[in-house]
Amino acid sequence: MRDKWWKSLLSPLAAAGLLLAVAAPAMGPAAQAAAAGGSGTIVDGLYEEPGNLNPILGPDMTYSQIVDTAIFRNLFMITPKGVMEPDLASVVPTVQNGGISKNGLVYTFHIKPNANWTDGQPVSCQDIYETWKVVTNPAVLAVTRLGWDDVQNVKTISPKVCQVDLKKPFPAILIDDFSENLPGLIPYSVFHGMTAPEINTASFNHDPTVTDGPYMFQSWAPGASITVVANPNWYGPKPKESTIVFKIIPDENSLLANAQAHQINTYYFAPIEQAKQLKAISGAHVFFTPMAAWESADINFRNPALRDRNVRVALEMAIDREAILKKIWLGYGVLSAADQPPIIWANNPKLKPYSYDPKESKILLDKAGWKMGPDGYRHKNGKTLQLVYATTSGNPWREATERLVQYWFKEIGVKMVIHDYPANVYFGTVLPSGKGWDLGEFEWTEGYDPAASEEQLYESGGAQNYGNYSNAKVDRLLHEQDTMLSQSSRQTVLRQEQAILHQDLPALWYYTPDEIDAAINLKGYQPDPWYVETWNCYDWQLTQ
Amino acid sequence: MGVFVVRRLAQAVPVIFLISLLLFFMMHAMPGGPLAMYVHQPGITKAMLEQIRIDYGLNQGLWTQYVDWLGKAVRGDFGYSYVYAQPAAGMMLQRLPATLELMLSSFLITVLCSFLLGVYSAVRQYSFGDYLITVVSYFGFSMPTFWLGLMVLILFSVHLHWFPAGGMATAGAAFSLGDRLWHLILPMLVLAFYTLASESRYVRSSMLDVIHQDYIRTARAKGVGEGRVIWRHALRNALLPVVTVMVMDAAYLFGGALITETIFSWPGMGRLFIQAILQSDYPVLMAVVSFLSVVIVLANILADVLYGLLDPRIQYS
Repeated sequence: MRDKWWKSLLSPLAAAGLLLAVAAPAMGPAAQAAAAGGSGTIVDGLYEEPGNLNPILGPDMTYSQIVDTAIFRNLFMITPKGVMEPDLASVVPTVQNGGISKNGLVYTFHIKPNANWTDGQPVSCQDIYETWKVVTNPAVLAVTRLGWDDVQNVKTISPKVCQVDLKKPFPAILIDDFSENLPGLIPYSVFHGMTAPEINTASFNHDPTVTDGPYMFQSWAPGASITVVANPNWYGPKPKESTIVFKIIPDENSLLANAQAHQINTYYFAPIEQAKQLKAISGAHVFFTPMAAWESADINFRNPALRDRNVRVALEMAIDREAILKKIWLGYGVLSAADQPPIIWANNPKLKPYSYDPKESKILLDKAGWKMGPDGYRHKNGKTLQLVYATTSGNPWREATERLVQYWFKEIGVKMVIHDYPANVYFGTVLPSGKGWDLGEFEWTEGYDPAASEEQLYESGGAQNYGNYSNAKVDRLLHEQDTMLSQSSRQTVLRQEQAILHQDLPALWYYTPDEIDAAINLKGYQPDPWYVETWNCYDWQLTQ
Repeated sequence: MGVFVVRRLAQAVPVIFLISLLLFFMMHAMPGGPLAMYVHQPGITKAMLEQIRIDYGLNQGLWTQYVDWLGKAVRGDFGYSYVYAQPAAGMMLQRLPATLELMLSSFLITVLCSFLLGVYSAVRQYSFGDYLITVVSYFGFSMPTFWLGLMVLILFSVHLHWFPAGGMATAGAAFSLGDRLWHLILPMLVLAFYTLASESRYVRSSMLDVIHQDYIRTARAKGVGEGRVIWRHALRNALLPVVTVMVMDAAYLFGGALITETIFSWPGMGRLFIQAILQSDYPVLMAVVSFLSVVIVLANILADVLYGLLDPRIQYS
């Protein structure tokens, strides 16, 4: 009797288990279960949930833009080859075709006749006007006002022809305001007459029922997924699948498991350590795409030791960056000579990365007056050459990099202390304060036009000029190119600026890593370094 | 009893007030802050960042901010999320059903199994089964959830394809109860495994205290069946300390399971909470923490009341 009492209690559990097994659906991932060729459901893995889907509201989140680009379009787009093509517009304006006035102050946009919002209203000049008014309202939490602040007026020539007058020439306006979907355009029919607080908290922000992209918004299950369905009235090619579900998976290991289980069709920005496992997935195509981004360590000029260029060059030459690229990034990337990576048109191809030369580093430090002491570290006027290296915590490649840098610095007699912080602390407090760090590593990503980034990072007083770098010639060149209309003229000036940055070393230039994305059982997927991955989602098609 | 409950509820009000005060100041003392999200926006300037700070009211003194927050919070208005620009309380309530689904199901499994295993272990003390349960319990207790969760995901989703690799439902599919249960099983079991490990030990130890008492021996001597001795006489008395622990554990269910929800992409409160911390989304953070404080204080009162109901020796005066 004593043996049986507990066994009898297990039977309800067994029955419950059996019930669950019967109730469970046929095993198999959603992506595979969906029928391919027009009626399937593509599952797109998102690491982060978008803050909102309003194309003009902040914060600036890449994952918001990924979803936005499936449901909203802008006047133009930059193709993977770096060419601007019309999207909502029918032609790209230039000085030659009369779309841009010779003084660079007047832009004329022609909108496609068949470009409509999903409520049936045509995409028109009114929408550009409304976007301008909303974005420049200081009480609206706009993602950016860059470019829009320079607009003097938006005039309707005809519903589909729009004239934008600028206060001063701003050649980057086509890129910064009309070629992405964050910021993008908003529908006049929804936002006209709304106050700023109403715009900031509009239901449209999470339920954008009026859109103009290849897909239309269907639902948003908070924390779980966002579903969009094909827009039958879109002016572009008919989407090849009926539905895209953006599934929120806030963990890289879980994203990998979902990819391996064939339960997602796309995985963006995979960490390098997962590259091998992603390649091993059947039906997976792994993309290594050169990025418009770079990794560097900002130099804090508040530290007197770092104001000496000899010291900065010595530090740059002490780091075997090629080894970092090979060992940590498995060779997927290129070394930097200054900030702009090779795929950006402003990159100066004549600049060569500093070579790895610890012997030269030692000579430069000697020249700077930092003499090697018996303790293995360099000293000057009774002070040890000690630097605090800071970066974001939880990034395996940065943790590996800083340990290597610490070793290489020790080789030349520089003591390095590592302080890592969570990203919001690092960017929110540590870097802007300018305190508690001498070298601050991070990655900067930018769009097709680098001018705004350059001003933010290297102009005296720039919002992200964390290290307090200042060079009057750099400031002058940046102002000069700001108003130039011709890209080739701007290129010449920006290349000069690049040469100064190479020489000055306001940061230790590291490398540009490739972006790693995977498409699983999906064809038509093509990463675009200038846009987000959904730029051609209408072309995506399930293969299983 | 009624007077006791009213008195405890009255005492809870200043406690909750003090908790909110402490949390508010601790939250603002954390380095970082909500502006970190905006620093990489195109064309951002220091003046724009300052404007955002003013828009969020972060330029005011902390006491002013707290009094303002408290005045609205007592009316159920916890402000708008800095990231989602949605009412913080609404966002929390949106996530509550998912959390309750996961946590209650795992709690039920935990309670049921912890009684079975705990009683078995106690009755068969030092048997092979007892040792096995002890080893498995310690394994469950010692294994980090993030590791166990990932291993379960890799084994059952990636290799065996028995269960989905996270989420609450199949992407793009219509609602079906079977589908929901199918998605629930792995996170529920991982979560239950962890709590089961500790709670089965509580039951075992409580049962061991009881089954060696004289009245149990007397019951057996009188010829009462073993099942009746264990379930009616022993377990009922062993319940007292265990129930208190379980009621308190149940209160924590509302907070969600940070790691399990993250690994299994479960859209619950735990994920909302960790996300709010990482983004310094103060309104959401305060809404979640205030809600949990109230639930935990109420659970404390409930535990005291239940203790009195279960043990006639306890008198509330």
